[in-house]
Amino acid sequence: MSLRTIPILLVVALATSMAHAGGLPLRSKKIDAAVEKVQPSVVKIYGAKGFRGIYGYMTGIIVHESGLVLTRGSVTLEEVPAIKVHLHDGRRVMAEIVREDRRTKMVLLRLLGATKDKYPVAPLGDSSKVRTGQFVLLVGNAYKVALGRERCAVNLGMVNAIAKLDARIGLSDFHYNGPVILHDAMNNPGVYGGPLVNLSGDVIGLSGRLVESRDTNHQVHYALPVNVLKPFIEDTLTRPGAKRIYTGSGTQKNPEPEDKPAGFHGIMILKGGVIRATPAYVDRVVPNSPAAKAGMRPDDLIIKIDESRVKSWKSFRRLMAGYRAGETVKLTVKRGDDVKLVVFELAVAPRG
Amino acid sequence: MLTFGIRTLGLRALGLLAFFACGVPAFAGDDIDELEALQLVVHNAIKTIDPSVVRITTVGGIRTIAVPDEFKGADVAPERPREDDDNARPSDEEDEEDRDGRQGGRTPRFENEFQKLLAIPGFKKSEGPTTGLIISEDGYILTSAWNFDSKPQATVVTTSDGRAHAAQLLGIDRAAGLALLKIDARDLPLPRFIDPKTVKEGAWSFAVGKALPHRGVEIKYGVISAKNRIGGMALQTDAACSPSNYGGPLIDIEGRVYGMIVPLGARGEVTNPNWYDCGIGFAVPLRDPEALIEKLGEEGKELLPAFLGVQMDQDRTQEDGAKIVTVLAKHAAAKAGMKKGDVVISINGEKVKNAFTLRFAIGRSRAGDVATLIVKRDDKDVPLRVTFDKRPAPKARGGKLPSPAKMPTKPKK
Repeated sequence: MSLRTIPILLVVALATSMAHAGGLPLRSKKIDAAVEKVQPSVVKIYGAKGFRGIYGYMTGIIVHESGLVLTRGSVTLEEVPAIKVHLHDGRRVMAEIVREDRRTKMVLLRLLGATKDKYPVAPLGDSSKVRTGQFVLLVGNAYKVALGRERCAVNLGMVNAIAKLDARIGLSDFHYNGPVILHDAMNNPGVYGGPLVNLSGDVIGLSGRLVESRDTNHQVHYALPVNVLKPFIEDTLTRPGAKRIYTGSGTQKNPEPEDKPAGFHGIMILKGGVIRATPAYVDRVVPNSPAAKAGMRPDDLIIKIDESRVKSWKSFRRLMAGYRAGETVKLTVKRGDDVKLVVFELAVAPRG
Repeated sequence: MLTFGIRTLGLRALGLLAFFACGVPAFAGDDIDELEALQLVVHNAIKTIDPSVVRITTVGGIRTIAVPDEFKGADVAPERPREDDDNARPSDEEDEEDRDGRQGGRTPRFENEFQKLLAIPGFKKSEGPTTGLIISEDGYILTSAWNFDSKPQATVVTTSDGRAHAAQLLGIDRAAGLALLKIDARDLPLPRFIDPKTVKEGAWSFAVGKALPHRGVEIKYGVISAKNRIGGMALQTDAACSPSNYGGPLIDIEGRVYGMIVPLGARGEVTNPNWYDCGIGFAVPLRDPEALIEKLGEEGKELLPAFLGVQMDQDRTQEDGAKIVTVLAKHAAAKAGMKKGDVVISINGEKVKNAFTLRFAIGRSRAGDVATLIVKRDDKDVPLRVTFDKRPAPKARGGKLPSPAKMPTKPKK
């Protein structure tokens, strides 16, 4: 028997086990266990009263037994006199913002009011082990249908990919430039901040809002990988103090500090005038510039900068503005019928 | 006999062991959960298909814009952009090349309204990186024609080993929305194809895309929702289909290819953003990739939907043929000598039960194809040789425009 036929056998086994379930609905023990494991630590968060397009409710997870709740930054929590948190057992607790990270849009809340009990802590998994094609559960306060002691909704989905996103949310840019987990579990309003859980019941990500890819214009459900969130929690626990600390940088395009000079490449691009769609053709290469030394020639058509597609001469300028002197850039160019890679290190711009 | 049985059993156990040993975490006996088993199988399918899927990057060209539903019925031809560039207008927005664009064949009033619409961020158009599938070892790559409507100036294909190749656009099949590319490469990994006849509704299906700039494929899961959609031409799936996987393969649980994911609408038109990820996706089965290469392997070749030029009795309950009600003058059927009252009982040896079977068979053909029809006329079987026409251009429908109240306006900043 070849390895190739084993998957079929497995599927057949799956089908027969369904048939022998004795008329009972098929339940996945894994899902049952995973949901049981994570549900006690999932909390419903109520902030600002909802007005046009903004939902006044979201989801979070308890990450420390002293009552630290991790959720995503949102206007729901901003300028609110009181943040209310509903625990899994129906208790209602007030909360305040302890720390906030602008870059990843994460917020840690502290539950107020003394309690002798320890709060149930969410099991945090390892998001570096997440693989494309694995099943995931998304747990959250969808449409605030779950009231009081009722449990948050669970949605099943699959990890579509782990990728960096060039995306937008409404009018603004997507705020985070690292790889995120793309999944297709239903991401309803209110699930924002809810945990993405693997079949072992460990949290592998924290849900984000629906964003729209700039590359393909399709809508994407994403979750921030939990490994990005761990240092933030650690830091808050080891260095408690100021109520609001902004770690990271708020800018999206250039998270690096601007102390390094702008990179110089020496490529003069043919400007498209009023036609913005003109592709990035090289008009002239400054002699002895990094690009010239790397073999760039006039009439080359620049197709990609590293992994980003260059749609037009405008986007060439926009993308290159993100590089600083000393950084290495890899250009994919089309020269005649060939595709060439041109790799060079950006220099400091010569004077004059 | 007994030894044979034991040996097979042993082999199976060994195979299973090997399968799980090379897979992810080890399972202890009965603890294998259905979903986890399925997960393993899906990983295997991804591994199988990944080498045959390529990323296609296009640069330049006319911006073609998909038209939202509100504008359907207006006097527009969205997928036929006008070739000249004089409609280009500078945008007053900083930085956003996303918001400009132009479209062909519109009335001035429509143009105006359309430009209002363009000011909305997030408006979608048919451009961007896309996915393709290797269909021959010597560099023929099939993708969705959707991205080539804009006539890009350069096309680059990145194979799964990371190499970039300049690609040449050969033919386009307008009916199925497929485009054939050629790159200069050898010994490319071929996927395995499924015979479309063996496909069953309800089978697992996975939509595979490579449009996102990352290593590996993007995968969306679902099932085969229906067969023989869009005039018998396409499989329907509920796996999310959008520009992230147009041009990619729809695969089964073993990583074999059902067909190519293409943006098709209910009437065969190119779909607009309203259809992205909506649970209705279409894949065109690839019956015979080699024949496809033969048909499309010529630069500038264009295949159009076939047209017979008859009106048929729409009775679904019929089992003994499609009755011809009207024969349109000067079209394929009339030229072949078909008459009013004929009953078509077979096409190319395939039995025709009613108007729908005949329509499906025509849907699978292209303009210029020759078919042998057998019709029943006065209790005699008459064979007819039909050369299919191309579908005549639809007449303008009086240019009904949506009311201004429905028209989205530019948001205030």
